[in-house]
Amino acid sequence: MSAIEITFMLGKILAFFGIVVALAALSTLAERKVSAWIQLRYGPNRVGPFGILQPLADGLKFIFKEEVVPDGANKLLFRLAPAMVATPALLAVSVIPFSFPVMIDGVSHAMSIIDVPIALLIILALGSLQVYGILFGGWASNNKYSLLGGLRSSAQMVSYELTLILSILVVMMLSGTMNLTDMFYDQETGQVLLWTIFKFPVGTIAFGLFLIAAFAETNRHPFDLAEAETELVGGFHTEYSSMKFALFFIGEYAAMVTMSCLLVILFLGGPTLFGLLVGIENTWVRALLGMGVFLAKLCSFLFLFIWVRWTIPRYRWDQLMHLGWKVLLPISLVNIVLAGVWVIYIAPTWGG
Amino acid sequence: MELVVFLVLAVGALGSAINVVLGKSPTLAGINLVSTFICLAGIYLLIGFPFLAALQIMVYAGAIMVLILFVIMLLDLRSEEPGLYSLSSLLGPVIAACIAAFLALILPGSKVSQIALPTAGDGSSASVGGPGLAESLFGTNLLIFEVSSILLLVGIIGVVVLASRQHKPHAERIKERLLDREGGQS
Repeated sequence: MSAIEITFMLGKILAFFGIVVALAALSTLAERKVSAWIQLRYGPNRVGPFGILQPLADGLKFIFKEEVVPDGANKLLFRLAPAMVATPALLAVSVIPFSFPVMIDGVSHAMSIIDVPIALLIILALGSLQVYGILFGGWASNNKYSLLGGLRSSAQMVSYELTLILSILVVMMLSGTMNLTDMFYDQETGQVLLWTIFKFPVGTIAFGLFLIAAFAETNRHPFDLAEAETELVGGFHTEYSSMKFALFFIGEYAAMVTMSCLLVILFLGGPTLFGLLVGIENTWVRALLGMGVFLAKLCSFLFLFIWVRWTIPRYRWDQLMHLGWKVLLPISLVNIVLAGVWVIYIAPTWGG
Repeated sequence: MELVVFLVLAVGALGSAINVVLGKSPTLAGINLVSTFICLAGIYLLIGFPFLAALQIMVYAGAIMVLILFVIMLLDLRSEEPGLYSLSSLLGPVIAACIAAFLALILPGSKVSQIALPTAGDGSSASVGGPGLAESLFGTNLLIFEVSSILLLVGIIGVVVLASRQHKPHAERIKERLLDREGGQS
């Protein structure tokens, strides 16, 4: 490993984790700003210009708040749970490629912190571990509302994980690879229509299914039954205060950022822009421009997550299960068959 | 270095497995089982089977254990009272030990031990997943793969048959409820 490579690796680690943590912090601000905008209010506007320093002020407030551990709680699990939500969500960032690979001394280096062929599986595995933080947090709190929230969340995540995985499978079949960086190239050959989302109907259906499942997996509205305020006080985090509560929040928003990254890579071609960037000779310039495109797409998905939260009413619990098992699952199974037909009969005639 | 990581993982797996058996609270036993699975996934990773490790976490730790914990928490099982160990609770370990000894005696000489396993480390083989694994599953070992999937199907059908109760027709249930209500008023 040369000095340049080590510097490059350290730079990647700092930059990507920085981006995700900053995006997670900024989306808490965006959440409040957009909600205010939708409801014709001002939102936070006192701390810094346009309230841009509000996340910082919130963080300081969380640090100085008193930490309460409820009586009869399982102390170890109660303290462990917030970290178990935040850690997997942040770890998943390490396998996400944010841009095109760059050439260093004639060797191609992927723009992800670690480049492994099973990146998608790692993200899914970490995502399925995240549910434990919520489940344990709910159980260890020794509070019936927390327990109900934790139970709801675990059932919901297990149900929607199926749809999520099956729609990812469709993308894998269409692109013929499990490597996330290779998926960019598959979707960029100069034609707009080669983004997965435009491969109608297979890719479009997979996109819809993945989007719905992503909302459920991240416990976001309209599927945030785990913390339904009107029914369960605060759900699994009712008993949490100060920095522990904040860690749950960071975990939720980091998971949102990871899901948006996956949406961009799998369905919107990652850093590609209608084949405009592929011709650039200098790989560093290409990688930087690609990263800009990637972040723009990413932010539009983050906005979508917030937009939906303040627009669509919450699902009822039985409706949620009905939708997951009886509607989305059959559709995704049929979609896999369609994807097989697509790969064998349609793709060869398309030149893609 | 590798040895240290292996020892930590092995001690973690064994320790939490012992906790599963000896623990009094069902919920904590479930939680310990999760950590056993995660430690096992770490060992798979160490010997060069990243695909298997990811699947272990995704399927066992991520899906099956979530369901088991869900049921334990939903039923709100109480902690076991100490001093409940009877003859029947001793029988389980004895049978398990007998099976283990039997397998240890029989396996080394049988044909099972001569099946060529995918070797770890080489990039394109079944250890990493992808085409190598697919070829092994849907090519050379297709019959075993299909038979095991039928086994799972039989398991599902068995559960449905065992769990389904005799449902009375809807009209009959309403009639019963009305009769109950009248009986309560009079």
